[in-house]
Amino acid sequence: MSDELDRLKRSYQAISAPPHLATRIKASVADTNARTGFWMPAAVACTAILALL
Amino acid sequence: MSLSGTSNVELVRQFRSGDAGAFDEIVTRFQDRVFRLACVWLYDKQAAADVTQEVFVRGYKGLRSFHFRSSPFTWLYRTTKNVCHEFNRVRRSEPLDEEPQDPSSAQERDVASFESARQVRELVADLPERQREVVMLRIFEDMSVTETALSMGCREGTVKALLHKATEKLRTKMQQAGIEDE
Repeated sequence: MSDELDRLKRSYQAISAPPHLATRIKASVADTNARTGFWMPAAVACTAILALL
Repeated sequence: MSLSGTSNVELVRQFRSGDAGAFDEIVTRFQDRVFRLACVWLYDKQAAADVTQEVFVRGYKGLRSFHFRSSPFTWLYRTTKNVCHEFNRVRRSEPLDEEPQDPSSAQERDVASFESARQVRELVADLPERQREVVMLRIFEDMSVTETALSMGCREGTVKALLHKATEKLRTKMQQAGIEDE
C-alpha cells in the first residue's frame, strides 16, 4: 500500500466512538429486551390462572 | 471469564447460547468500527452514534439467527449500511454521495476525532458508492478480498477491479491536495 493510502487509513482508524456509547447501547438493548419480553410472563400468568379456573 | 481472547465467531456462538456477557464483548469489540463507517457515511457525530446504537439493537435480535456463512462483522457492516440509508431517508438529507449543507457546525466541531473523519470523508466523497465501499472495507478495515466481496454481495474480481480504480483516483486526489510524504 502506498504511503498516501496508509496515511488515509490511519486517519480513518483514528475515528473512535464517543465515550459512554457502549453503556448507552447496552442500556438500549436491555430496554428493548425488557419491553419485547414483557408480554411473556404476563401470558404465562394468564394461562396459569385460566388453568386453575 | 474474560472474553477478550475469544474469536468473533465463538463470541457470537456464546451469545446465541445465552451468554449475555458475550454480547457486551461484541459491542466493545465492534463499536468503533461501526461508528467509523457511520461517521464517514453520515458526516455527523450524533447521527453516527444513533446509528451505531440502532445497529447493535438490531444485532441483539439478528445475531441470534446468524448462520455463520460470513463473518459477524460482515453482518454488522450490512446492517450499518442499511441503517445509514434509512437514517438519510428519514432526515430527508442528501444522499450519501453529497456533502452536508453546513460541515462546520458546532455539533461536528465538538467531535474529538472529527478532523480525521473530515479528512477521510473529503477524500472518499467523490468516489462512486461501490468504490468507496471497497476502500472502506478492503483498505481501512483490512478485510480480505473474499470478505469484502461477501459484504458487498459481489464477486472477488469485481472487488479487485473496483479497488484498482478507487486507489488510482485516491492517489491522484491526494497528490493534488498535497497530501504527500515529506
